[in-house]
Amino acid sequence: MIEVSNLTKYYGDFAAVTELSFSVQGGEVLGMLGPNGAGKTTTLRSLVGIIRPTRGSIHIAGHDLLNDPVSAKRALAFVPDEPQLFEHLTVLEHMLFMARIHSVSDAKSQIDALLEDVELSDKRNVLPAELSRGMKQKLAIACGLIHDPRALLLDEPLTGLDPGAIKRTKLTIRRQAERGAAVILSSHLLSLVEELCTRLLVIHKGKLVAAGSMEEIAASRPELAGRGLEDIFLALTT
Amino acid sequence: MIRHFLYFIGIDFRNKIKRRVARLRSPRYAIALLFGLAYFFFAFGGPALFGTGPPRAEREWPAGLVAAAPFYLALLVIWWWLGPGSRLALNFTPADVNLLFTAPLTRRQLIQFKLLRAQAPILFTSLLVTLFAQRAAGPWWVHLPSAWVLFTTMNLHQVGAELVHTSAKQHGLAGWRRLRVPLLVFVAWVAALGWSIWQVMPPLRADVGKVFVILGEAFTQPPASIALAPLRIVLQPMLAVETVEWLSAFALALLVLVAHYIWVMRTGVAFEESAAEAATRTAAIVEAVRSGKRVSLYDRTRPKKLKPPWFPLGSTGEPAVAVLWKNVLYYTRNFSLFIPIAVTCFAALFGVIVFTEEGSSLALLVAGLVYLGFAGLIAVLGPLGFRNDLRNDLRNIQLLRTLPIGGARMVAAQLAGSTSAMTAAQVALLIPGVILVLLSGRMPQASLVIAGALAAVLALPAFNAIALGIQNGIALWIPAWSRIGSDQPGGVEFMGAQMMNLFGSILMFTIALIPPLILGSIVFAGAALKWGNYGVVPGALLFIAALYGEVLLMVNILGNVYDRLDPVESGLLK
Repeated sequence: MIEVSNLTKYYGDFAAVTELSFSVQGGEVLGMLGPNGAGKTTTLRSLVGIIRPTRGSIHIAGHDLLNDPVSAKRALAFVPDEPQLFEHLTVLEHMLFMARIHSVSDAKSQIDALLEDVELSDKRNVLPAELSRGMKQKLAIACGLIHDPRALLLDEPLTGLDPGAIKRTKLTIRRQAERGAAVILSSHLLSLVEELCTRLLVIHKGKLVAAGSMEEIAASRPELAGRGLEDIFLALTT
Repeated sequence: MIRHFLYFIGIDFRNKIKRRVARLRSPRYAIALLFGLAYFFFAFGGPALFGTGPPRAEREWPAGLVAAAPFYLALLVIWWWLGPGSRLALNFTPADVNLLFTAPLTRRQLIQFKLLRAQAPILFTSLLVTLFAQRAAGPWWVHLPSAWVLFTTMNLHQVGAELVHTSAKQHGLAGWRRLRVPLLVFVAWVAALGWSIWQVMPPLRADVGKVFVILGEAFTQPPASIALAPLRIVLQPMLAVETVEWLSAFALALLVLVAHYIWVMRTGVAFEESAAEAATRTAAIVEAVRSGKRVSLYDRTRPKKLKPPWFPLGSTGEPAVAVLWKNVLYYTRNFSLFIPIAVTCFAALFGVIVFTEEGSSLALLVAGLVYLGFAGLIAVLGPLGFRNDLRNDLRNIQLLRTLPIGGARMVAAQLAGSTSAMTAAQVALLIPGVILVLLSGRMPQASLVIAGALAAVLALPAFNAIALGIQNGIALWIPAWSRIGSDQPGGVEFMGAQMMNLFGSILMFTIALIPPLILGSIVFAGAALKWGNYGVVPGALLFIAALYGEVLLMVNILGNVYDRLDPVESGLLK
């Protein structure tokens, strides 16, 4: 569903990401890990078409993101770490906007269900300025799910959410994967990654340092056998 | 505490300068700085500054400047009191809020901080004025303190006006009552100016050409002269020719400054509100800081009734329509046409009052021309004011770029938003303007006026789209010059960027008009041989068609630029 080959991004002489290759199949949840400045955000931004990579190719649901970005973007959704909302649109108007962008035919029922799911039904007519950080995050997630994306990319999706919302968001991510979506989850919350992700991708200084399931990664480093994700992460990135 | 504020402001200033010097390595900022310096150099006299002039004792300030200066200051004061002009006076940056709002500081101390912070730009502006006033009258060393006292007093007045606004908003009737003295003073002040203008209406009607001379004289007579006295007092040190004269003028100006300071501090202290109110505001401020906005010391984000969309948005169909829908909604929710309509009506009414004695026909013509003039003014200034397009949306580039909309369609939808708003405003002025002109009966060929108006209505969207497209192009190529993104120029650099933006836009717009003009002229020349003056019709139609062709071309070029834009490299994203 998501195919990345030799992804490289330079800013001047600085290599933010170098020769990154991986794929995520439908139903998989890939955990993207790395210390601050490792290149996770650059990778995610490249995968959703915000920035153009210097080299490499990206395919989303079979569409080349660089040559046919519109088709590729129809299949994906991105929830950034900082919710991006329009100040003058209400919650409901955000949903209507995204529904039109993705030509969702049964928009009304979808919107009602999603708002109910993220507990924003009673806030449908308020502006983002009147929402808390967590509510904004919930709205961003709901906007991302309106077209039932085949590729879902999330950057620190639980920031600002209350325990109830965290539980529901985890469930939503799992449900999306079960429905066949390829999910990439970038987070520093190792417990979240451990709980949800079927595979891991560890990036350090813009380069891939490990990929596979926790067991596969541990097997490739015998000294890490039996250790938890935290120890594995620290061993790979320090 | 002042010492700590000075330290904080000093460090902030030093870091800003270091950052600005460092980014001069980038050609766009270096060019902007050079343009800014050149603008200041030529705007304030250019090479003559460094030439030799008459002896200092013989120099004089231009009489027109001396007469007009208090009036201009009065307009500024009225703008601060009646318009939104003072709203930025008490705005704090998120960093200020993080560091200061959480510190054990009183409201008075926060206001003092804001006033101190304003001193850096005031001193910089005063230095510029001093430099460029070298060839003016008076001892050279008096200009710096004179400019400082003038700008500081004006800044204090702006802050005071903002405090009064805020009190009225927050405390309703009680707030107005508490501030009845300054409000009564302001009302009396405006009434005095209005009375003086009313008194000179007969000579003004007789000789409109001398409007500034007549008004200038009116303002030297009571009651306007009394109303303008405080402004003249703060201006007087700048105009003083002799040292002794300057000393007394400066002392008086200082007194006005001190009086303003006391007024601002007392007004600020009167705002100490309940703990609950403060807590609510603090929460709102924290939320605003988290979303990276500038915030005001006083809450002004009371929920208001939202205007519904102008047209419903279906959930299927062309996706770019959603962008247009959103941008039109941005305009309708953030702007009110009340003030521009009121100003235009007032100006038209003024024209009618002045010219009624010449006959109703001339009065109607003048009123009509006022409307048409304002429509023309929008054509010139509108591209800078109507920003419900990429210039507003590039802040959300991270979201926009994930939408499945190609560059050309995205640019088309964005431009359609600002173009439709700008054109609607012009047409709203054009219709009454043309009707009034026709009613005046002073136009020999009414059909020509109607044809011209129809041609304008057809051409205006294309004209506007080209002008707005140029602005959007600048925003895409160099976002910082359109005040977008994190890496915006400041000070002289910003002035230079604005100048380049302005001159670049005019140049590009002029170039854009040449091909349609040539095409239209050729067709007109050919058609005129056969149909005489009616040949203008096919010529005009081809001219308009060529304009729309250029819009299409521009949309495609900008769409390509949008697709290739790297938000990180251009400073839109970190």
